[in-house]
Amino acid sequence: MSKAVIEVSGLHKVYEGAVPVKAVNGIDLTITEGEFTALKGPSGCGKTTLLNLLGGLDQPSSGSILIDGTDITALSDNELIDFRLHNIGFVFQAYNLIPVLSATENVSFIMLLQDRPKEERLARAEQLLKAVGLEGKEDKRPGQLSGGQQQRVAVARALASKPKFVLADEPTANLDSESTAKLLDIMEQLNAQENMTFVFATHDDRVIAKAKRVVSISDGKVIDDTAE
Amino acid sequence: MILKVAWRNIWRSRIRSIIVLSSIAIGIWAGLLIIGFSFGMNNERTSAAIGATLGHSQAHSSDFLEDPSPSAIIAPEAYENLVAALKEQPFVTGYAPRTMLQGMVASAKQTRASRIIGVNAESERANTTIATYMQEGDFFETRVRKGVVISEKLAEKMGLGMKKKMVLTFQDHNGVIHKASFRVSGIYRTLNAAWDELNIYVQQKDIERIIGTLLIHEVLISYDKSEGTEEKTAAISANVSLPTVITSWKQNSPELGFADDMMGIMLVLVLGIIMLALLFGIINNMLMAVLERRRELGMLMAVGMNKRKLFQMILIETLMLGVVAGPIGMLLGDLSIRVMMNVGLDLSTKKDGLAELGVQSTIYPEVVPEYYLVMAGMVILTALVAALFPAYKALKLNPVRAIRGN
Repeated sequence: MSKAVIEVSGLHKVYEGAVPVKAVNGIDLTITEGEFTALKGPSGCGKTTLLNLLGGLDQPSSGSILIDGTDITALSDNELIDFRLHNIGFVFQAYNLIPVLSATENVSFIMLLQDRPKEERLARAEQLLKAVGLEGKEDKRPGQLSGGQQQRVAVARALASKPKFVLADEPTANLDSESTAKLLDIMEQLNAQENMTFVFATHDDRVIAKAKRVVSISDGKVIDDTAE
Repeated sequence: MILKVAWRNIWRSRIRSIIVLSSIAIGIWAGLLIIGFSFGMNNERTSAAIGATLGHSQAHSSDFLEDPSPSAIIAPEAYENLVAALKEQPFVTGYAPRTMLQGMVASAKQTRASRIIGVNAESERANTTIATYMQEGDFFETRVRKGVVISEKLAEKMGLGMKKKMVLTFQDHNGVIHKASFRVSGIYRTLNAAWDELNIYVQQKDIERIIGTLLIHEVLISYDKSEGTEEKTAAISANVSLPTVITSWKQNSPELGFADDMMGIMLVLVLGIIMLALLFGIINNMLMAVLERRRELGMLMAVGMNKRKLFQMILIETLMLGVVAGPIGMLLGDLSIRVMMNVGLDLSTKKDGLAELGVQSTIYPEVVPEYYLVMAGMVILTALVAALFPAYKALKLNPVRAIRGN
């Protein structure tokens, strides 16, 4: 049996205000190593909030999140930053690359934060860019790449830190069909070849169709969990 | 790579960066020019005063310093001891004994109070530059009995000219009042209008003939260099016993000493004001840079850039503004000063006002290397302080909201 990478139990997130909003309302979820999981649901259902909680970007109101056995809700801010750096890869909807850096530099920047030696950084960045089909584009800056190519750089960046899993928030929202298909193929390949765990928050049917497990969320609760 | 990111980030908003870099460079340029001109003006005034009238230090009887009456003389024995002490010091290049009397001077037009300085013409010429300020006649080089050298300003006010007669009235050390007529043998104009209006020169030997004895109230002392005047003065003082007292030019002309001390304070204030203006410019620039890059900074925090590294990145970026603009400003400032050292700043329209301050109408700046270091230090300090608020704003970003651009 595969090892659990993410174990969530009794997870709640309430945004306080004049009318408190229960964005995540009692979720129990386990994601094992090598899964290719999509969290689906309509806008405002709580999937991005759940993703942020899994990524340690937000603190839950209650419940626990174990990442590879570590309860990240008990970590301090600084410990959490360090934990994210070494354990979690992120792919964002708007790519969020550093515009003044080339593709190689964007990918290797995260390894710089990990204090890895320059030779290692460059070699891994080159290898990852090749893996996402950007050979020959290493020196291009984000502004010189298409949206699909930028998102592929973002995927390479997410993998650069050798994380335990990658969280992708609506990674295809800004891409056309061709770019989406290419990106999904690459992520599928990385999942298959390197046993990399991917968790997507999406309402894109093309992503959902590729996912091996689909977790449906509505009003902050898991209403369906289907595996292939 | 952090340096590379910082460098490229500076050029992200090219026009804004050029504006802020220019403002830093211009601030430094202006600061260096102000320093150069202030030093040039002050040093010129000080060296002119030391050279023409004050000397580096002076010796008096302690009584003279309390009340400059004719009886407060340096006694002959004390004078001999003083001369021996001066000859022991290798940095003393010469000395000039003076008779200092308060009196009245009268011409056909008017009568005025004046200070009559009886000089040994040769030693006064050797140890001061007063002879170079002669407008008419000379400083007792031509043998004239009972000649008097007065200033151009006094001559004008009293309606006097060369070879005109004036009557001097003064009291000797015994309280006896003497009255004698002198002829104008020279007319001088120093850079110090206040000095010119009050002081007239006669020969010591003429005073001696009138009162029957040689009185020495003051000995002007010259050093090889102006640097270390206080220490040199103290070294002479150690070998001279009371009642003879040695005082440096700063003590003898407190207003000049005060101006010298105040200049340092004023320059720090002026530089501080320039830096304060730059500080707000840099803060504004960096704050805009941080707010514009919220998504990027949010992403960096999300993927694991810790607060220390984020702070470091903003700090390096801010420092880089100073590091780029600083040398440009210094180079421009240095070049401008060097050009102005040859050309000078012509303020002849303010000639009279400047003369009251003891400054000539064309001001030549000076290169003051130590202030380049002060300036560099201040720019770095300003950049460091300017980085604090933008860095604080960056650290306070919520990664989730920042990634969304909120």
